[in-house]
Amino acid sequence: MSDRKVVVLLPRIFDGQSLSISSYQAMLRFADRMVPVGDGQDPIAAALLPEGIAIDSIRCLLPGVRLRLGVLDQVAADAGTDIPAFSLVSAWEELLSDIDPICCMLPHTIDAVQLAAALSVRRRAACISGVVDVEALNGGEPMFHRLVDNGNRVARMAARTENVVLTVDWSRCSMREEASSMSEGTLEVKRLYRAIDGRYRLLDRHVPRADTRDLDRARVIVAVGRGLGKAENLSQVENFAATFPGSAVAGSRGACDSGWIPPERQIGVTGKTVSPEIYMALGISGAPQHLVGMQSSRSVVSINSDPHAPIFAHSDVGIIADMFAFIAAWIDRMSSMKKGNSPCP
Amino acid sequence: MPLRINVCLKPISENPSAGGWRFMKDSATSHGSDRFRMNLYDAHSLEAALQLKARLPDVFVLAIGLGPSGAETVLKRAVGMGADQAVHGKVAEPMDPLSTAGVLADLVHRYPCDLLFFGYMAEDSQQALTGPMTAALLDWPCLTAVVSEQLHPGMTGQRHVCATRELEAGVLETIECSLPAVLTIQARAVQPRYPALSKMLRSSESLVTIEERNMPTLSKPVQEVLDTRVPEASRSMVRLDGSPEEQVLALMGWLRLHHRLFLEVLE
Repeated sequence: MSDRKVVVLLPRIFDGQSLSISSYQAMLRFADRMVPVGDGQDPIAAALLPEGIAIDSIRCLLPGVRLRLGVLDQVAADAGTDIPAFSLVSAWEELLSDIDPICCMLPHTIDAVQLAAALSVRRRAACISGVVDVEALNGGEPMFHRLVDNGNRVARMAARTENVVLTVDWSRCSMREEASSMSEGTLEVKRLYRAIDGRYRLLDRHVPRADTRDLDRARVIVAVGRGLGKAENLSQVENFAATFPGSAVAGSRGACDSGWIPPERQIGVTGKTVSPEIYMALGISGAPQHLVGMQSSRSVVSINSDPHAPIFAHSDVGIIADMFAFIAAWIDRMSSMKKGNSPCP
Repeated sequence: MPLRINVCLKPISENPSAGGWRFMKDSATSHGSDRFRMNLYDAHSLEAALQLKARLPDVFVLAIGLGPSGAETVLKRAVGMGADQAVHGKVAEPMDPLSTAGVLADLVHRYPCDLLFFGYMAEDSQQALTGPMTAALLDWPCLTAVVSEQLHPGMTGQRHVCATRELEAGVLETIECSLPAVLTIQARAVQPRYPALSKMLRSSESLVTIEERNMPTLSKPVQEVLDTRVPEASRSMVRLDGSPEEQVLALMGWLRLHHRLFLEVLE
């Protein structure tokens, strides 16, 4: 790879307010790891702004960062949030054309993956999605780590092109704790003239409003996956959950798609993120998309009949068992102890 | 003119030791003996196309799959589920997403369509790139992670697709775009149908095989899987063995020690 820039892209149009600073800073810290194969300088943060947004607003949010901003002449200040990220490929291409970055990094979101795919086709670059780590030794070929096979394996991948576009799952990256070396901020502003892809029209955007505060407050969350088998089995899980103080029941995407658990109680990328004291995963394989939603739990207890289920690698306690046999034994034991028939363990 | 929907299906190896066909570097020697199943997300994608076919008049559903000999079982299953025709493009080697997209874009020129459906991602490689890349190569609009879709005529008479996408944290976004378009279909509550025996028995008649020599030329790979390994554990798991009763006692003890739970029951 040649001696060029590493750029972190903010995929949605910046509206002057809704910038998740922590995630952006995490991306920049991750981008630091690519510096040895870039131009040796700090990564550049790039963003698109509509006409009328004060440039200083983003400068204040990211002090000390090398910024490259594109101002979209055709977009009004209040219209930016209605424009899908993936309709901005031409604008990004225009913003980056004169620096030809060696590496473009985006967050690993559904829209950003689509943008990355389209951008890589335009730039004739490799595209690696869901990167969780990078090995970028001086002078060596960078190797990108990503989870495959439902989280059962980590693949090390290499780009065979001069440039590469990445989506980075920074929530799963092991970040260095030290502050970024970035100290001297720079600013470049470019007016962009290429049209937004007007083939898309946003009709509606619905943010779920269901009350799931019990999941936010729960001391113990008992979550079920496809291992539940059928809706009729849910009562056993509910009885099991009821033996824990401050408990709530949730599900994986599979359990919610199957209609066993209400969709608003789904844990994972397309659902809620929770961090209870104890997360009990029953019959959940542990797909990466699910782990995102529960990995910050204090303790994770998993019960699964498949000893190779990836969830066990992310658990404090693993029980290889049929979940219903375990639940039956648990409830029997709890009943006996309450009656004073059984000795304490 | 019928509405033509091409559904791209990825055959996934059922041989776990081979670790999947497409992305595992060390599985190249086992292609010939592999058995294949339909990628789960693609099964939802096919189901979505078949439901459009059931709702609308004059819809033709074509299933397209790339893979070595043996992968045609997935295409036959697609016909068994209700696809009008299936095309098996023979390729011997695993391909990266851009190469796959290039081949599929070429096949769209051979088999024109109004809608090109993909599963949201492949179960094995989990990249979610091939659909958007194919759209970029065709210069078609693309909507990803779609959980429902409707077709309706636009103001100019051109047909439009109106699709609801499921994004992070359960946000639902409904977007309209004109046809032709690429849709990648998210897993849904409606389970993909089982194949009908009568259709399965006649599936060979509806299967077109394109031999490797007649396939589009593969572009040079732009990325490569160097190796794969078991991921490092993020937590140090304590495994509780024994009978269910013994496991229950062990878990109660662990919860009491680490979380001071059930003290009133146990003491």
